[in-house]
Amino acid sequence: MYLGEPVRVLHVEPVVSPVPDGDFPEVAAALPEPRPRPTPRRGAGVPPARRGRPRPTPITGA
Amino acid sequence: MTAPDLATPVGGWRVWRLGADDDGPVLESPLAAASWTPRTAVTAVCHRGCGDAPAWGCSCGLYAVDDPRRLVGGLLHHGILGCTALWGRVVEHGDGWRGEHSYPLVLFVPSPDDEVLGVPVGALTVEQARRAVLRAARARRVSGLGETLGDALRRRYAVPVHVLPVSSPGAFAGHAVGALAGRVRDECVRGLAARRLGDRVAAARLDRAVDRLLEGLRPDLPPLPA
Ligand SMILES: [Zn+2]
Repeated sequence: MYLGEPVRVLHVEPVVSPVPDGDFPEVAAALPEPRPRPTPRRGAGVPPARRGRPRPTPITGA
Repeated sequence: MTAPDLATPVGGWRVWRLGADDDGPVLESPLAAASWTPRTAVTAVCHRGCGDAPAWGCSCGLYAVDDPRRLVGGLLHHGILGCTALWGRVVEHGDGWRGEHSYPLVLFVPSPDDEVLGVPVGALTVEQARRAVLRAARARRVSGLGETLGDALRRRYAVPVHVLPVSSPGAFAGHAVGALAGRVRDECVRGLAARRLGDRVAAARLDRAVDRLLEGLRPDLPPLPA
């Protein structure tokens, strides 16, 4: 293919590589599938209520 | 060490012939026996032994032209057209460039009509390449059996792929689309960094430029105003 006469030599250093690095320009990056939450075993009893800090008793009339 | 002249690649038009490997279609240089491996920059090699291809006084390097209507020859009538990035050492000519490194930025496959299916494209016909895509999908046991040639090129090369509204890139010669093609070439390189960083506005800008070019090529539409 004839390109015409040579004009000059350029040194081209792109700041961003023209080669896609595993990305896909037309599609947004996919997030990984959410991991399934652990479910309680069948037949497992209701877990005991967590013992929290004792609630302060409201004081009235102070 | 020399300071670079440009911090964005040079963009130019070129054609590839179609080959295939175990994972689907592959772009190949039309004249040299060289494959353009997906997601890998191609680097020029001189068979006459130039140490720093492309050399000023040689014909070596990766070719691209400033206007797709300059692409002539048999391959233009049944090849894959595209805009490619050139970088590294680039020899600028009056009508195009020879570059040291290259990677496609946007590809155009011919519309799948009967005329193009039987035409030999390098080692394969387009139809054979389509079958290679199907074989690759079966081999990978993925639900990609309906994958078209364009889909497969997009998946492998990770660049936008469009279908030409004409059966061969040779139809460019008969249309006044030089300015529209120039806008696609400009936008390919101007918005490259933004597109790579996921900027949807930059991607949409390239899509719009491509749409205008494809409209200009449609034989059923009146010519666009200049
Ligand atoms: Zn050479």
